[in-house]
Amino acid sequence: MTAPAATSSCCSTPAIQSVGAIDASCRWPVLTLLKGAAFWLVVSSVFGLIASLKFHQPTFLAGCEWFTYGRAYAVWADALVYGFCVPSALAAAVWLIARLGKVELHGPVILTAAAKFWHIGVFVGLCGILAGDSTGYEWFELPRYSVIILWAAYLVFAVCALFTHAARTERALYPSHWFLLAALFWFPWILSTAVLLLQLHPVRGVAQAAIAWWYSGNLLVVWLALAGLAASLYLLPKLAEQPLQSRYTALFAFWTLILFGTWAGIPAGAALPAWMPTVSGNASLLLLVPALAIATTVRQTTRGSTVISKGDLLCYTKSGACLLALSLVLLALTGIPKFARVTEFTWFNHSHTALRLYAFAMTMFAAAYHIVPRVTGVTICPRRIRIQFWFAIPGALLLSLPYAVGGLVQGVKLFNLNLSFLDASKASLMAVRVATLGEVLFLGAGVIFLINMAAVIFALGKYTITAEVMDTPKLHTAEVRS
Amino acid sequence: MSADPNKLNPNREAEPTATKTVLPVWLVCVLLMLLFTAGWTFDQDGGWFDARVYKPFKAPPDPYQPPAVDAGLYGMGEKVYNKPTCVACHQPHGKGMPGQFPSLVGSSWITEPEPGRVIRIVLDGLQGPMDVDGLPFNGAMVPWKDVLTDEEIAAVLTYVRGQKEWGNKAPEVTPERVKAVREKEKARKQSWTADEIKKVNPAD
Ligand code: HEC
Repeated sequence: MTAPAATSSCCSTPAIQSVGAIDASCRWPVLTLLKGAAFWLVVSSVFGLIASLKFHQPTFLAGCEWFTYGRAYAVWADALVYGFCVPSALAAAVWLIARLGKVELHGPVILTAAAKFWHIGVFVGLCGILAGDSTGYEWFELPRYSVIILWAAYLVFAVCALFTHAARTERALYPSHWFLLAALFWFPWILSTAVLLLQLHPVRGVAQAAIAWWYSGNLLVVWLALAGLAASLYLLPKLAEQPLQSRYTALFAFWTLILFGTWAGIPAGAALPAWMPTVSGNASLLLLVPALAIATTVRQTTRGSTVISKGDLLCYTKSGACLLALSLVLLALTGIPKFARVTEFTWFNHSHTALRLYAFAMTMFAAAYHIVPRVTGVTICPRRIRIQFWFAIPGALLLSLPYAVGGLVQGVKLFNLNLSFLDASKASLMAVRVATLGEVLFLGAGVIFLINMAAVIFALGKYTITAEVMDTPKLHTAEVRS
Repeated sequence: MSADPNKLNPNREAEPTATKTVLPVWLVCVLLMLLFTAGWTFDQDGGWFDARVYKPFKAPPDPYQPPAVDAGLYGMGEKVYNKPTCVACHQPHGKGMPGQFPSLVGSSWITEPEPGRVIRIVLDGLQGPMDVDGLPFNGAMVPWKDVLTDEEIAAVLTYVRGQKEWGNKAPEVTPERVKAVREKEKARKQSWTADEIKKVNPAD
C-alpha cells in the first residue's frame, strides 16, 4: 500500500515512513474504536426510538422500570455521545495525526487496550443508568465509577496522539491539525471539570446547574464541532480533489467557534445572575459567524469539483458539514432574547442538539469509510455505503427538524393564556411522530454501518495479514456481502 | 466506477492542501455587526457582571378579565365559573378532559330545557359510572351546596347553559328555583349517581 505521490512534498526529510506502514500502525486502535462505536450507535438508536415512542404510545414498555422515559432518554444520549461520537472521533484523530504527520502511530497496542477500556467504561455506565444510577445532569448521566474508566482511557489516547504528533516528519500543519489538537484537549478539560465539580466535590445549589450547562454546551457545541470539522476539512478537499478554500476561512471558523462556543449553553431563563444567561445568549448568537464560515468553506471547496457523488463519501462529508452549520444557525436563533422566550421550554433546543449530533455522525461515517479500507486493505461494498446514506440523511433530518417546527408552535401556544398546558404540549405531538420515523430510518443506517464494520473484521480474520501483504500496493478484493 | 470510495487512486492519496485565499470580507462585517448587537444587549440586560443583578420577573397578564358591566345573572355566572369553581375541572373552554371530566359544551345534561337535574348535580355532586353523549366517565364531582349560595348556583348554571361561544342555548335558571330544589333535597347526605338522577323528573 505505498502511495507513490505521497512522498513528493518533503523529500528532504529523512526516514519518511511508507503510507502503507503508517496506515497499518493505526489498524487495530482504529478498528477497535469503530466497531464499538458502530455497536453503541445501534444501541443508542434503539433507545432513542423507545424514548420517542413514549410520547405518543405512553403505555409502551411502561411496566418495566429499566425502560422508563428518563432512563431510555439518558441511554440514547450517552450511548450516542460517549459510545459513538467520542470513539469515532478518536479513531479519525489518531489516523489523521499519523497520516498528516507522516509518522507511524505511537503505542498501537496500548491504544487498542485503551479503546477496549473505553468501551467497557461505556458499557458499565449505560448499565448503571439503566439500573437507576444516573447522575441527573443532562448529557452527563454516566455514574462516577464509569466516568473514571473513560477518563483514564481517554488520557492514554491523548498522550499517544501527542507523542505521535511530536514525532511527525512532516512539520507543516494542515488546518485539520488545529481542530484535532484543540478537540483532543477540550474534552479532558471539560470532563475533568465536570467530574470534579459535579461528582467528586459537588458545588452547591444553582452553581451545579451552571456547571452542568457549561459542560454540555462545551461538549455539544465546541468539542463536537471541533472533532467533526477536523475530519471534514481533511475529507472535503481530498474527496473533491481540490484544495481547501481556504486556510484563513478555516482559521477564522476555528477561533470564532472556540471563542464564542465555550460561553454558549446557559438558557435565557436560568435562575442565575443576569449576566450569565445574557452573555451565553450573546455567544450563541455570535455562533452564526462560524456557521457561515463553515458553509462558505464547504461551498468554495467543492464548487466546480468534477467528482460525481451520489450518496457516497463526498455526500456524507458535505451533508455533515452543512447540517452542522444549520444546527449552529438554529442555536444562534436562541440567542435572540425574544425568540428564546418563546422556545425555551419547548422541543426547539432538542432539535438543534440532535441535528448537530447526527450531522457529526454523517461526518464520522465518511471518515470511517475512508479510513477503514486504508488501514485494513479490505474494501467495503460501495452499494451498502450508498444505501446507508439514503437511510441516514432523511433519518437525521426527520428526527431533528420537525422538533424545531413543533417547538415553535408549542412555544407560541404556551404564550396563549386561553389554552391549557396540555393543549400547548399536544401541539408538538405531530413532530414527535415524524421524529419517530426519523429514528427508525437512522436505526437502519446504524445497522448497515455495524454490518459493514463487522464485514471488515470478518474479512480480516480470513486472511492472515503478513507484512508482505500489507506492502503490496494491490488491495484484497475481500468483498463480503452480508 | 468513479463512485467507489475505496479505489486507491494515487492522486487521491496525496494529502490535501489549503489555499491562502483571503477571508471573505462580508464574514468580518457580519462578525462586527453581531458583536455590536451583542454588546448592546449585554449593556441592556447583562448587569455588567454584577452577581447581585437578576433578570426582573415579569408576570404574564391575568388571563381572567372580569366583565366590566354587571350583565345580570349571566355575567355573574361567568365570574362564579372562573372563581375558580367549575373551571378547575371542566376547563376554561368547557370541554373538560377526555376520560376525566366530561364536557359541558353541548352536553345533553346541561342543555335540558328544565334544569331540575343539573341543579341537583351541582348541589349534591355526582359520582360513579355515567355516560355523557356517548363517552364513558367514572369520576366524582364535588357538591357545592355549602360553598355557593342559591343566587350563585343559579348564575353559574345560567351562564353555562347559555354560553354563546359553546353554542349552548338553554333558558336561564332562577335563584327561586334553586332554593326550592335545595329545600326538597335537604335530607340528602351523599352525591347523586347517574342512575338515581335519571329517575328525577327534570321539571321537579
Ligand atoms: C372536582 C372537579 C369538578 C368540579 C369543580 C365540577 N365538576 Fe362537574 N363533573 C365532574 C365530574 C368528574 C363529572 C362526571 C361525574 C361522573 O363520572 O359520575 C362531572 C359532571 C358534571 C355534569 C354532568 C355531565 C355533563 O358533562 O354534562 C354537569 C352538568 C356538571 N358536572 C356541571 C358542573 C358545574 C356547573 C360545576 C361548577 C359549579 C362543576 N360541574 C364543577 C367534576 C367536576
